[in-house]
Amino acid sequence: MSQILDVSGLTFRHSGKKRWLKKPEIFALGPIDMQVMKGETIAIIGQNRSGKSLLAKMLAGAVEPDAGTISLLERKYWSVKHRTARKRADITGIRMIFQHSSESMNPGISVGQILDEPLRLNSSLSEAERKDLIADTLVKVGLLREHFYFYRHMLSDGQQQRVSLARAILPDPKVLIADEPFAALDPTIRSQTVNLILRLQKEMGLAFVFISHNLGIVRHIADRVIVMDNGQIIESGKTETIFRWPQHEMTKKLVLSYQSLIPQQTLR
Amino acid sequence: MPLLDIKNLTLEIDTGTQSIKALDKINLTVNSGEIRALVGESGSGKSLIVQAIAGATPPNWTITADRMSWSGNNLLSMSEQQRRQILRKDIGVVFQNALASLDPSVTLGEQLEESLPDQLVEGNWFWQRKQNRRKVVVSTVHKVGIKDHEHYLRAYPHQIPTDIGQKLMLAMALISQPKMLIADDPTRGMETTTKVQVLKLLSRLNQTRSLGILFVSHDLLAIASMSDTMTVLYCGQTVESGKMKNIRKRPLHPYTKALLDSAPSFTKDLPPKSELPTLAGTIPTLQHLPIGCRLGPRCPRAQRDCVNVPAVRKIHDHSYSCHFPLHRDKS
Repeated sequence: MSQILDVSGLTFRHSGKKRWLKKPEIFALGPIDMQVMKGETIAIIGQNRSGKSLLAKMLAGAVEPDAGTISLLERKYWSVKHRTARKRADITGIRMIFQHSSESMNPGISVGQILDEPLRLNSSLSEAERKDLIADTLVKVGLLREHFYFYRHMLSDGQQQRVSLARAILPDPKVLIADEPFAALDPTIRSQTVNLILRLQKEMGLAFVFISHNLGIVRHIADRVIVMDNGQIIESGKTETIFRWPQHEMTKKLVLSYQSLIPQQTLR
Repeated sequence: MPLLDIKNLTLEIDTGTQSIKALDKINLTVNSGEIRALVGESGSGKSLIVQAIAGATPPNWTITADRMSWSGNNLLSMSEQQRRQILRKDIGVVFQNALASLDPSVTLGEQLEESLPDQLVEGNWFWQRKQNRRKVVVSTVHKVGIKDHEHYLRAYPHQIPTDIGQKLMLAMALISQPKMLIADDPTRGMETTTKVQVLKLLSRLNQTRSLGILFVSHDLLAIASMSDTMTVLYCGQTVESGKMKNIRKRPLHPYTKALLDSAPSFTKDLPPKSELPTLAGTIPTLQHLPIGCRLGPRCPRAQRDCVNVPAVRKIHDHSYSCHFPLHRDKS
């Protein structure tokens, strides 16, 4: 397996405004180092306010880090000195799925236009080619070609999730980042989405980095787990290792509370 | 004697052009000291049941039921006044989407103090009553697991994170010391440690105060760890209901099986990264409900008979409604 994404020394500092007699709120993330291999699935777990979403947003480029470098396929993708590198390398290398897929879609334009936008802005394909590609992608994520002309409100939750997945994989990315992709979904739809992502990953060799509170799914699909607390990576390793022999206090707490939910009968 | 007893509850929504049967002959009982789980996906009518029990229904809904009683008293023939009194005294309701159900213009502390009934406050003089009221509020807030009460009781709903809001909603329901708690998805979107905290609190109250709980959720992991009995809903129809233990060991309805399979933590020998078994298709919307058994179009075992609504069948405490239940082909 070859290394696809290399993050080193990624840092972000947030400080609230200082007021009279009020201490400024300080939140520092990082420095974060992580490597992602081709076709690998990495789960980020941790408590609320531990900086998971922020890390995901920084990787996807929605938030600018204060220091550090991100390199994709050995090429510098982002660093403080090469702020424009991301623009030159298109935005097609790393793509993101947001938590509430319905809210991340424009209600005023059709699914076709939603999907067309990233292609129109980042590729030199002609209109006919773009339309073919969109139709193919819609079929790939388990929708119909006719959904091109649908609007957001005409689709169910699961279908919306599929559209946002389609939007993410359209420009053939190397890394897919997802912030709680399964949280808002119903159980049977969630299994469908998990299956879909597993299949796409196999077909396209995508690396998949996702955040989840659902440790059952994390254990099922992740190769490696990163545990975050208070803006730092406190533990990372193979999924089974983390779940069986958690080292850090925080990890132990998370894993134990998950184990306590599983009924004892399954252990027999 | 059951606390809450509902038989053949049907809820119709009049949309002007047609009337939709959103709930179709639902049966549900909650005994005192029992934790009953109500499971179903979105659009299955879980929240509608909660609203029907709480009486928070818009004018274009028609509720009919053979029986809907609260410890022997018929809820449907009751006057608005009496019903409200029962709700105030005996039933605590945690609504879905906590932050939206709190009053945005009043601080959380004031809201909590308001929902504390007068008879639960000790003291004869107003200053004593004021102090005691505050004391009860603070102790309840601590009980649901909010440590920094100074800060959160002074805050407005838009200033607090969602999980604190959910806990506060729970505190508001519990502060009047009800006999039954109806909790509509109280752990949605919570991270595991907080979820376990809330679940532990609920099961402790269930044991110490013999509080009956109707736990509405689709989080099977949470449900399995605490509830005694379970009722599964699909698209407004009761699909299966019975003891949690029996259902987990041997589901009879294909939908229940699919639901249990969708939680990878339940199946022990599942190789990592394998395909999860699931039902094809999506949940139908209320406007386009299939006739007969509403699972029909998605069911892998559907046959011609499924266009008729299956009757409820019973094996001991375990009731299900399916023409072709799963135990048939094993024997």
